[in-house]
Amino acid sequence: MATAPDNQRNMPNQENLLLDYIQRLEHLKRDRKVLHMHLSGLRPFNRREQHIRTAAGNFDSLISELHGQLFTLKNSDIIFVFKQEFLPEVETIVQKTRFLFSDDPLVTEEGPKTSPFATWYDADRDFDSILGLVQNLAQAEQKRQSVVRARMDARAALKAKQQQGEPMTPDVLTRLETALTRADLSNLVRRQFVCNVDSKMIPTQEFSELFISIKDLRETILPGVNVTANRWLFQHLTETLDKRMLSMLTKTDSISISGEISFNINIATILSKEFQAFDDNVSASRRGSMIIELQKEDIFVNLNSYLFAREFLQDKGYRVCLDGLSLEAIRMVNLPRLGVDLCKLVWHPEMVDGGAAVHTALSELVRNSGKLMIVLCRCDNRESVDFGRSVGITHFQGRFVENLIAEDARRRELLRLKRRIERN
Amino acid sequence: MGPREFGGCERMAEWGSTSTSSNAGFSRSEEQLLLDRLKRIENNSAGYFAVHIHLSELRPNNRQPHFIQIAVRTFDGLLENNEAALFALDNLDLVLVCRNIDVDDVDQVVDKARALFSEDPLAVIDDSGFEDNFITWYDLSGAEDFATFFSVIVEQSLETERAAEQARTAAEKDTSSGRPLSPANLSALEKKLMTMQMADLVQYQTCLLVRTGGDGSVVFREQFISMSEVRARIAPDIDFFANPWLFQYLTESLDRRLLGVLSERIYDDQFEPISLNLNISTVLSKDFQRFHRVVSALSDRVVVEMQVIDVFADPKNYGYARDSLQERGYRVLVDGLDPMSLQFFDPTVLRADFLKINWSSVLQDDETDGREQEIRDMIARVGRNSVILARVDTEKAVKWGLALGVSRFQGFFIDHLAEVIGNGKRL
Repeated sequence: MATAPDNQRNMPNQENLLLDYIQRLEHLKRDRKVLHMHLSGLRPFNRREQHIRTAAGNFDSLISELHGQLFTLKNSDIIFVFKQEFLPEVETIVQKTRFLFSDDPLVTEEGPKTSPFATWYDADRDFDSILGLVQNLAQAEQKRQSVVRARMDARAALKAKQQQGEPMTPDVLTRLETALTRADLSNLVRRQFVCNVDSKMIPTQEFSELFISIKDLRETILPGVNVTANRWLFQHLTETLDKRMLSMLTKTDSISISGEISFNINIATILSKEFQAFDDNVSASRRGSMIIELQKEDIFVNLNSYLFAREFLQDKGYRVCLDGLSLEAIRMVNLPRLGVDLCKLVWHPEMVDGGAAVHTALSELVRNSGKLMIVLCRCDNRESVDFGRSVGITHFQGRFVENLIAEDARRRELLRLKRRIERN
Repeated sequence: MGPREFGGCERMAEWGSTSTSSNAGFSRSEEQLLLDRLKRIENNSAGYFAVHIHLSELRPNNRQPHFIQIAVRTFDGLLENNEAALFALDNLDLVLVCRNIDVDDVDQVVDKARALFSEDPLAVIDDSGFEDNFITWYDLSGAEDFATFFSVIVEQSLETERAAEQARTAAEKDTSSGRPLSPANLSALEKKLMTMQMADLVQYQTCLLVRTGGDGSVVFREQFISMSEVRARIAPDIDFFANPWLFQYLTESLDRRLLGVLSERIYDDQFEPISLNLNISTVLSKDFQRFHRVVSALSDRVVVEMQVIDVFADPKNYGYARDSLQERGYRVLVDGLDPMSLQFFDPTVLRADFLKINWSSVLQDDETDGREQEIRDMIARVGRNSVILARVDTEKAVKWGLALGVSRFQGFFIDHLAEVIGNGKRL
């Protein structure tokens, strides 16, 4: 657990107390030693409150005799400043603590090349490095606290933004769903292409996703209502929209469904009569050019249903895409096991901010994905495509990709004109 | 859907009436139709065979009507082009009666149906190739097979009548079903929830640390609002569980009420460790801030449980909620896992203090190769002290858990145990 023992909660933080103590130690540093136990390097399940408390408790007798001073830091590290003459006792305690965690890699894999379990300092000789260490620890803690605050502030701001507009309630949802049964939604169907984008930023269309624009829906039918404000009510709304989409796809005169297409659908809908009716009207050859997109929310509601639906769809010849995976989600799930043909990772600038760690993790994930196609979606700037390509992703979707397609069309048109001029 | 015809000559099974025992008094059941058919071919059964597909023996969560309907449809092609008929029995078993069809063609279709249930042990074929619990073949041209099959179906027909009779009596008393939750009735329900008397509906269930020596001590007591009591009080005619999303929506209101009730109960530092199940949105809400002001320094005695559905719907907010809870001293638990879901993601990424895994009796007799080892490995990875086996209703479950290194348990059986041992005394 990330927290330090509870006797320190609600007190000035230990990092600052330690800094203060070390600064005062400057005048008494002779015959003092400092021990730094790197318990932050333990595996999380060894780093729980009770473990750290036990480790700290070993010093109790020395502390009560006023032979030393103990600090337990937020990251679980322990710092003990003590009189040199008690070094044998302290060494025994460290050995005892080592035994306490004898199954942890921090202890079992300890060696000259790995980070040590404990570091010893001589207060007199090493005073500057001790002070540097302690200053760093205090700074890190301060930074951590401000990060936590910033995160909460961002959330509050987002919340406020979402609250502009009437909140979604069951009553509003009822009105909306009633309105939906009468409305012609065909003019709200949008199409966005998934493209292979090469190093010269030239897009090649793979398939297009058909969807009902929630933004336009909101503006046409219920202006001022934030339909996505409540996740659960929104999920329910999507089931209604699914069925409208299916009936439009069945009546091919209402929307054009040329080429390879994909569309989003709830698992509950796949198992419903509406989908069976749709499926009856799709020719076997056409199924191969259709990709059914499932939402990640749906999978863990009922894994049995998910597995059943996926098997059913793939057996029929449809391809299955897992939609809406965030960076966190894609790193959580066992993609091969989920057995989909494609998955969509939602672009977010934090992927770049995550630095080398995220970059490596994603590259590895793409490398190990085998036949699974990973699409980076909601790409609205060049940075997203550059990032995706740098981790090995080749397929993209989003406003930026739409712009690339338009640009490409213009370029082709110009080329055509140029050729015609040359011929003449 | 149209009737499935036998070689285009006579009507056999009508889909419209399949598996609806409510019709039993008026039209003939599928079992009876099948028996009629068998009687007719008895004296001229050359070339006939039957395939009995034992869907009734699937695990309960695979035995859902819409799954069965889809399984039925995998036979469409076979039925259209051959002398074959399919009977959907009341217990969800399927019977395929065929005449002069290549066994390989039937195999192909049966394997498609089998693939739909590939996660179910029933569908697994024993390596030796001898054991196949999914289907049984009967060569109806032989007198012995014919007789065996006939008696199986007679037995099943009687069973269907009994079930229909029971269903009729149960329907008269039944209150468990009802109108499904819908946006239209949700808002009235929500208003009632916010104003109804709630304090007396808060119940608890003990999570117990069981040591091999027979010692036990309380880890925490989970505080929850009994949904069946709430339903009985405000909406006996509505089925709360028919729609998962709208049910989740209702739980957000319940969270607020639970936090309110518990705030009044936490007044000194004598209170025992508790846990409570909350939506992630609740943990990030003002209601929880208010609750935290009451709990403040005692937060290490409160475990906050979040549902795995919620975690996957919004992993980022789960991360925020978890970090902020842990920073303030709370312990975090992810609820709603089962051994199957653990195969689909690595639970260590949740970085929770506890993972609650629901026990089900299928665990103890699951002999699927390596599955138990997978669970053992998972427990080692997350740390055995983080795992809580929940919904434990028998001593067997406890033994199963202890054998795998788990020592924290919750469920009906544990409630009894907790009563027996009191708080931390020897058994």
